Amino acid sequence: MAAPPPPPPALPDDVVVEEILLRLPPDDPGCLFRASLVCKAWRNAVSHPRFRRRYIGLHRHRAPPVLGFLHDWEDGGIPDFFPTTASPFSLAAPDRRFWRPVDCRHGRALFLSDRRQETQELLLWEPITGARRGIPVPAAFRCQWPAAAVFCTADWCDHRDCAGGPFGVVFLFAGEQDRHVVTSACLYSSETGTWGKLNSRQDEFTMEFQNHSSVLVGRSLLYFLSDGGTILEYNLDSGVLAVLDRPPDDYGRGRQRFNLMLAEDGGLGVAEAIDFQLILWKREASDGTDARWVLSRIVDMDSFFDPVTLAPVLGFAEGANAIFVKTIYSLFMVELQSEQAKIVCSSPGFCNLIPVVGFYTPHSRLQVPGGEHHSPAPWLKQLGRGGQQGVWEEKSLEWAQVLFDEGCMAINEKDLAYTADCFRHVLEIRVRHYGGLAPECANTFYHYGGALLCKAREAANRSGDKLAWQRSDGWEHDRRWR
Amino acid sequence: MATREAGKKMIMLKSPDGMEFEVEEAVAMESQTIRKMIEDDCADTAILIPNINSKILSRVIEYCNKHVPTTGATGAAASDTVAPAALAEDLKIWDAEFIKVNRATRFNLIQAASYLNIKGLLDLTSQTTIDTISDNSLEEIRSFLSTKNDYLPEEEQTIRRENQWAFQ
Repeated sequence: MAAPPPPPPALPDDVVVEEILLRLPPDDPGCLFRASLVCKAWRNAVSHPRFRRRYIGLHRHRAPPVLGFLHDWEDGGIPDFFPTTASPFSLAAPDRRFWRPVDCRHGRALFLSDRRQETQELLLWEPITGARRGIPVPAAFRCQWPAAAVFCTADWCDHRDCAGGPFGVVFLFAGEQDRHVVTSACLYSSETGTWGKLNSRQDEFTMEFQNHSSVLVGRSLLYFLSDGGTILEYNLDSGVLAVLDRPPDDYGRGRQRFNLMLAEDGGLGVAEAIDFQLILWKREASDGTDARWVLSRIVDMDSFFDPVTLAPVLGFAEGANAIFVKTIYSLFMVELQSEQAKIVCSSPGFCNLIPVVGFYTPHSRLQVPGGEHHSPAPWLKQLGRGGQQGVWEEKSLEWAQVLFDEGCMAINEKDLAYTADCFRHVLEIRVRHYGGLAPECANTFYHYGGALLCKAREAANRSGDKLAWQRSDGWEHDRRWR
Repeated sequence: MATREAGKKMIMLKSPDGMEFEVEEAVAMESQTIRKMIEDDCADTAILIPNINSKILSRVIEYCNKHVPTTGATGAAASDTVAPAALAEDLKIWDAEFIKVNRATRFNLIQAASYLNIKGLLDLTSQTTIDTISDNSLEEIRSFLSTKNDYLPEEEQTIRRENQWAFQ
């Protein structure tokens, strides 16, 4: 028998490609995007729904990664979604000039419209799919700084990939009733599209919720922390709203230095930043009524970086067990399991941080170049065409003009990053309103293009600075797969 | 029916090119696919492994022999005196040697590990490949995998533009 012909050049088949790409690190979604540019087969592989299912399944033994965070810091140079990934990553988050992020959990982020607007509204945004959905606030709401929490309500869900499913929202706010200060909470169900009964309790002071987001313990207990340091518990099953005592003041706590978190046993915890240490407390529920705070762990932070006094704990990433803590110089993310800390931003700003946790894969949006990336899903689009949205459109156009003028002024001040940012927002608003090819948008396109060009030139002149601003460890990754 | 040798249950595996391999049942059951066949009583005389030639199948068996728990097919019983950490380290070194193969063999091993559902081998082969290429440029990856860029220039531009951040 004649010798068999030599094998054809090794060309990995679909199975092999998928198996290889499944091993790309989940905490660096940029790799998957760059992989999609190798060839169409690779793009199809990474954007297939089956790939996403398998990717999450393969990495099920690890905590979902912290992709970045949402914030309402007033620095135009910092994007609405700030990535914490190893190489660049971006999500088209709602514009924080209009939408203040209040919570993020189970693949959904919740925003509250700008309080300067006449009618406030909630916005649900799914970071993974890009879908958006408006939710009216409860009719009784009058105050400026409420709290809100979002969570998945699907039975038996492990919350690793539940975007698009049923969800609930809890809205918590202070008000006045019969000359008494009351704090009220109510529950929204996406399945009925309505708010439930308002549960209120009398309080001594009006509580505001600007600096902290919620923590969900188990499936039915939500905890909120007021700006004044009051811990509130809302029971999703019974609707009861209760005030909890704080952890003991054993370590010389300053005001507002602590934040809620999940303890290692899955119960309620508190992280306190005192001097150079993180003090972690857990709520030990002995028999329900007698629950008390117990010291869980002390993490010495001066082993990670030069001893600098820690400022408040700014956020806790549920699911990833990481907290964000600030010093006067930088913002750090601390993984509590490994006690590893990394610098995520050298900007001294930031207030309440809302971490975005989850597995991000390119999914179907890559299959349609020029597709629906920034637009809501079709059913959401229809939903957004109500009267309320119309009011928003008008207000947005006025705001676009204000931003446009501001961008023009920023050129004179040579603040090109801010200029480009302003024009980007103007462009988003006008394109959304008029359409991308409308003459009303031409001038904005021209200005935005010019600003980007100037910004790129400026960046080229001082290469390195920007990377240092973005993160400290991303340089090697940045050069991959360009 | 499975044969017996030295008190151990044996299984016959056949490659499509006619080679036969007699392996311990425990070794064969490192493959979840084969395990299921045995458990479902579908493994009568010999199991034909389609699409995996004898060269690759012998390598797969070599891997399973090394990784089967308790006693290795090398004959040496896993000593109680050896610490688990040392065993794991030994396996790691062995794996690193095992995977030093050309890319065609590596792709075939991935394919075989996927079909036979051998998680350890699949992880080893796929992870090594991704580690090899992840620091390379797109062109280098295409060349390594003999893959052609089948995007039209405008398609490539669109993807780059829409995900600009990924290509900065």
